[in-house]
Amino acid sequence: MSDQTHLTNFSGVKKAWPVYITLGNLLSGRCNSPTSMEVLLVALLPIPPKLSKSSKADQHQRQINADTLRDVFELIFASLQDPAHDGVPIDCANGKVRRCFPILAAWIVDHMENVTLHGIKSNSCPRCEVPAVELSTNMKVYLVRDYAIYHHYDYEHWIRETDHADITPESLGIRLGQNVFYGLNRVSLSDLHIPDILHPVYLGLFKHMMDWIQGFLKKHGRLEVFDEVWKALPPYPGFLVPKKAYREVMQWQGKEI
Amino acid sequence: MPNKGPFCRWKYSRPGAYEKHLRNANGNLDIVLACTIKYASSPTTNDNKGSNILPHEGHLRLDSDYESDPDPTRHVYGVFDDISHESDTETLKETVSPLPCKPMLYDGTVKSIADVKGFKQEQSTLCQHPWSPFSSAHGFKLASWFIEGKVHKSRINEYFASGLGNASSAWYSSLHTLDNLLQALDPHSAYLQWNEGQVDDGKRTLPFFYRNVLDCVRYLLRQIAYRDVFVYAPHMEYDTNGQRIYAEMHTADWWWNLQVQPHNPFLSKQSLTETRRHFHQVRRLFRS
Repeated sequence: MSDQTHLTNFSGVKKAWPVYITLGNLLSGRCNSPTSMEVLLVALLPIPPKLSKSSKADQHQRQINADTLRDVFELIFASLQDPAHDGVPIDCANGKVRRCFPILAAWIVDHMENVTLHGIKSNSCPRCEVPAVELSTNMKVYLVRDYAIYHHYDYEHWIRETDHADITPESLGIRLGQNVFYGLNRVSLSDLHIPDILHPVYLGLFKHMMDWIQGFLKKHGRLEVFDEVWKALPPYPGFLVPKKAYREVMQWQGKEI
Repeated sequence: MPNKGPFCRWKYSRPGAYEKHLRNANGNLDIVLACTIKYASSPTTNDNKGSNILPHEGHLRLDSDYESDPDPTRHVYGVFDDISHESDTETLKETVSPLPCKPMLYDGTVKSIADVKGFKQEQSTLCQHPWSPFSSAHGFKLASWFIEGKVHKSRINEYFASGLGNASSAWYSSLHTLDNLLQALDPHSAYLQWNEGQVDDGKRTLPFFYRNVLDCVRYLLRQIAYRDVFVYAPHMEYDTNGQRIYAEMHTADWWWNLQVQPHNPFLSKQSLTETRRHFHQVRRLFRS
């Protein structure tokens, strides 16, 4: 998992890009506990500066940055290449040595990092080839993205053979050859994208529903009553009692919801 | 006085938890007994020792007030340490149970190939000197208090310099000696060494820092503190109605599917050099 982090406003705006790792062998109840120390910091990466889309020089620089990012991730995961395929003996906590296959199974990030890491457009799904105009609909099931095809085939040749002249990298929402995880053994690139509970559920569905409710209450003049009820919610195990009214909270964190 | 379950060994001091246990565990006792009798008469019972744990027993552990109660899921993994089957699809077919509520474990995946060298000695040393590398509980607790209380470094030195701390019992008398002891506290900290790399984006060269991912995996797997929460094999778990339960990574499909499909064409071994060559070929094609 990774998340670009704002470090300081003073002494220059500093940002860092920490990359974390944990094991899927650990039970989630323990793994999700912040005090259990089961998540390790693997890398601290620099963040490239933002570039405009208009300038041709900036577009060239963006391409260089994408290549550099790919090289960095290649270096970080180089030690997993052979063990993922052939296995490696690892000492386990119960005193036994086991042949383990360390495989990258999931990458939990927000959408904009998925865009950067998977080499897709910002309005594309990292998992399937749904067009941008149909993102909010549920009309049709689209093919799961096969990043291997994106990399291995000459697209023009493929389009000619498959007789799909309307299919272009742009229509599929990809920037070709930019998935930083491509080439890792036994890694299914389309399965790496795992929806976390914070972004799609809490900040997606819940926030959308609450915006709708807020509008409804405002229309009927009951918003103040709702705020008072919200602040008066009683404590419950696992529930953080809100100190502010819902609409006064500018940014939600996972522990608050 | 704790209440004991009529047909099990779980004990509860709170009436609410006891009542919930009776309702959940013993409410469908006839089904449980029928499953047990059928399972006991099955000829494959002895081949699948760990699978005679009913899925809802894990929940009982959560309700139990009795700290000495063993975790039923724990001995599932412990039993399979001794099994020496080969992992292949043929044995997988044999492990499929006719009982819908019986969890399935992918056979052979928890097999160990050797014992960790020096592990028994490490355990016995830990039992003999539980506060090692600190000399006593006092020294360990004082260090914990410094760290968890986020005491400033200068204040730690000041504490010992002013004579407040008993250096002879704590085995450290300054921040420097405390740091040395803390580094010796984690015997596997060598796995977490940092490496420095350079990024050249055409305009400037920036440093970045990274650890060896495989060493991080080794470090996590070696931690004794996590011994009871490690899972070494994928499971398929079902509720009493035969519905599949997806709760953890080892009960989901990804791990199971990867385990049973070792010859998937998309999982063929690739070298990074080959990958890199493809990458640049495709890039050239699209730039032209």
